Amino acid sequence: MIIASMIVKTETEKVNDIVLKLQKLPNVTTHGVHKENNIIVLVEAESDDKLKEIGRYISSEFEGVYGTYPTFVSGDEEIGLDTAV
Amino acid sequence: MKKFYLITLFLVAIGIVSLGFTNNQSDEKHPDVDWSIGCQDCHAEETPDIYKAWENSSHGMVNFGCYICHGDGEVTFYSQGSDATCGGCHAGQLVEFEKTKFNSCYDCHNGHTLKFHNE
Amino acid sequence: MSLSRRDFLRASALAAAATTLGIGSVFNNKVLAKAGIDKEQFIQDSRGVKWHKSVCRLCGVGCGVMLGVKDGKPFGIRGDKENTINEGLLCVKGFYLNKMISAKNRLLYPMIRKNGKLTRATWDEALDLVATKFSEIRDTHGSDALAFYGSGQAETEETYVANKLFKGHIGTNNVEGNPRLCMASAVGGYISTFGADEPVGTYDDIEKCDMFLLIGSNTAEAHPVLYDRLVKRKKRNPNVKVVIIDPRKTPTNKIADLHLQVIPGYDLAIVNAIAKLLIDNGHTDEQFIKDSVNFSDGKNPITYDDYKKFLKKYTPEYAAEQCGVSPEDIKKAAKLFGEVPRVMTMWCMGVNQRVAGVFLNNLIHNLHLLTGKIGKDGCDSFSLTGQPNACGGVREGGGLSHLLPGHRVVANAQHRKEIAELWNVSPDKIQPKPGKHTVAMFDALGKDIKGMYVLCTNPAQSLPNLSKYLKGMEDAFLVVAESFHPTETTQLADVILPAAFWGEKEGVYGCTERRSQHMAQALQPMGEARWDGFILADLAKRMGYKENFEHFTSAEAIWSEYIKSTKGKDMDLTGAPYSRLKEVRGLRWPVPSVDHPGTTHRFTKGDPYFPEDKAAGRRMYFYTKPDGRAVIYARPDKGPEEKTSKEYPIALTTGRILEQWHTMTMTGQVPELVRAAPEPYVEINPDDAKDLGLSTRDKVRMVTKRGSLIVEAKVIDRPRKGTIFVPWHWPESLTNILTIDAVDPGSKEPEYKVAACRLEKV
Repeated sequence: MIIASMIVKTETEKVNDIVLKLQKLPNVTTHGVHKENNIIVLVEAESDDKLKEIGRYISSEFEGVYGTYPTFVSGDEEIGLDTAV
Repeated sequence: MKKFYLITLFLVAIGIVSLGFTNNQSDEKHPDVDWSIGCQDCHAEETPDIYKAWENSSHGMVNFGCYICHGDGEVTFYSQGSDATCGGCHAGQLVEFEKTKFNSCYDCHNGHTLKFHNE
Repeated sequence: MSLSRRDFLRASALAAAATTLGIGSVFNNKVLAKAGIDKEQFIQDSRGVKWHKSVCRLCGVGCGVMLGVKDGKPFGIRGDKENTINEGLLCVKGFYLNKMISAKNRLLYPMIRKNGKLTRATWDEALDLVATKFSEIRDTHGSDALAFYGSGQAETEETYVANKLFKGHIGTNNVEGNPRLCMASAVGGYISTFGADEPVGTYDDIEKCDMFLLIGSNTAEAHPVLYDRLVKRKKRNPNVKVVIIDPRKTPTNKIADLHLQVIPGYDLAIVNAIAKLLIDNGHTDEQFIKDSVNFSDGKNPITYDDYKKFLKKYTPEYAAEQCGVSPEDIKKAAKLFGEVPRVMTMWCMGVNQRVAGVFLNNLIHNLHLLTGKIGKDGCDSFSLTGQPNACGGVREGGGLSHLLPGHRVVANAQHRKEIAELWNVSPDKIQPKPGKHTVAMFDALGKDIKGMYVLCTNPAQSLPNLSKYLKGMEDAFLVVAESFHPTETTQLADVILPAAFWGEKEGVYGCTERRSQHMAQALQPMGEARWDGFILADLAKRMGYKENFEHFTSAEAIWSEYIKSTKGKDMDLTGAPYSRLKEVRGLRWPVPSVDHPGTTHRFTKGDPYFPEDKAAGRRMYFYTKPDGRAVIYARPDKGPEEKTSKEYPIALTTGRILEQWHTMTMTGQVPELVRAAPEPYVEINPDDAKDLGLSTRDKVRMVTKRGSLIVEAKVIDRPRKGTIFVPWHWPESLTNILTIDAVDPGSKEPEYKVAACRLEKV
């Protein structure tokens, strides 16, 4: 399991809609809207590729998203430890 | 499209891989350039305003180079610095942000001069 | 109870995002609370980091650093804000120290050369081989067929054990170290002028100084944190003046008020001219001269009048012509020096690495003695050091061929007796004749010297006129104790021993301002690496000297024995046992007792050895001289060994850049630092470049009598016309095949700073 956080920057007027849409995605949780148009998103993905996929999906499929900005990704080596907890 | 700086910030020293997923041109990769040229040599020509601002700043005065805040560009790249980096040297001036209305060193120390409120 | 691994990662991820947005300092309460994570617990877990007090591993400034360790691994580096040298500030090199610990080129196990190839071995195999070979060489060819070559980066404890083994037990004075290549002329200057090595003042003088005279020092790049103190001093007090004497415009020029850009190797005339002008302008302190100064021509005592006669020749016009600067600038510099109340002169390799190195050191001291600008706040004749423990380990610890611990010399029977007693050996075990100095030692290697132990240094890159010495290193039985492999030297070795690196060992470093500082062991050595102190003690045991080394079970045990040798000496460290050093940010000797605060100015009130009775009212009494007087020397303006000629019209000078350190063994492992200057280059003055039709990044061949090298040209208005500057860091481009191995007759330090060369466009 990879744990990552990212900031989703959106058009200000669409931010709340996007939060609602994000909350519907599996393994994605949102953690508030900050400074008008920045959504903190936590993603728990099975693999690196899956994580990239989610990122791309948010960037390209959601209208009003300027970009997704990864801020933290737990490394592959941590996965073993993580699942052992 | 509006340009944003991408910010990658690593807080804890656990294995971290860097990911580049964004629909934005200015992702966290430094453009692929001739890496045999040092950062300052190249930026003095390519981004002279930024270079001048840096050169005349306290960091420029003591030749505290680009790579400290921005990484080497090729292996690591951070388009914006992090508080953790500042704290590495300015260990004597750490701020307890919770007691202030500010959240980051960069809230007050702006631009490439990093002067207080860009004074 | 700790957070689960998963919660910890979640919290870290959220905290990172929050900080990026600038909505939480480092850990945002609200964000974490919403995620159901206890903030306090997170802070504790994320900071499961223990910070250990240490000293920077790089230059000689001695900055305090804190090394953070988490789960037994290096976590990060922080400047030590409690340390008064740097108050938390680090330079770009020190900032990446933690990356050097876990660098990819760490040597993790011993290796022995078998059939021409270095192959992995056990510690027993390796050390038995070294002990057997060394014993064989000693028994067949005599003890002087062995040699030790150490380092200003070794801890004092390490150098002490090596010294004890080689000088006291094997019985050879062939004990040298790389400080011979950088500091020996400063030592020669201090000893001849003041009777004792190392500066009178300390860094404290910087904040009280009105004028800094920098000679042959690119402080901004070589000693960045000290430079930052100069910058701050000048910023807060715009009247503070900075005068530079150097063949190159360097980044230090950013704070310069006056730059005398001299022809390399000819600056002695300027310093004599300044001395003449100080006298002519009435800027001398006649009372101080009367009280505390003798005059000498280098052989015999002379009078003040003789000295004035000697100076007659050194008019500003004469000096200007010799050095290629304007007489007006020399007058300005002299006027400033004389008029401002407090002056510090600082110098480094540009002065020391010269065949006239000791002379120039003497001439600098002359200026301070003539004006009495010494031994008081804001004044000093202050030599800067390039390595972190050149002063502490090698100069104080006696790690050169003519020295013994505690500012003693092998030639003195009483000194030999005292140290033999401490080492529990017969006094005649220590030879009275100095061993071979570094250049002579490597010259004899593979001939008279059959076996050498190299500790923590890289002579196969750093020796001058390098090509001449490589064969000796190949031919002899060469043992190299190193933390890194490959280096130019380990590649020539017969045995390489993995040494614990900085942070993985405990010990003491003594920096430029006579300050000894303790470094904690924060980590276990990587792989099979062991601490050099233990490796040497183990070797001693295997060579049959068990009795006098078996009590060396810790760094503290070695330090405790060493400081006994300093009792009652001018460099008394008796008051600096480990128990005290662990608590404080270093102590500046003399510090004769555990309740003594250390000394800021020597030879004056406040120095515990200042003899008030003998001084009889005089402000300074140089008690290391027989009559308490320092010496002003009439030294002629000796030029460089190799003058430029028709065939070799360009003066080549070597040096350093900010981001790299020495042979790049450590700093070359940090991608950020490599990025600053990725390729070897030569700085060429635009006028010279024009004559040769050269542009930046063109390949250019540099040819000296000793070799040639092709690098990229960097056309830049830094070196003066007719001069080129080559940084010597890159192992793939060995600058030292160009340099000359002529040495100063007194200090035996080679002239890295001046060689004659010719440029060819490739």
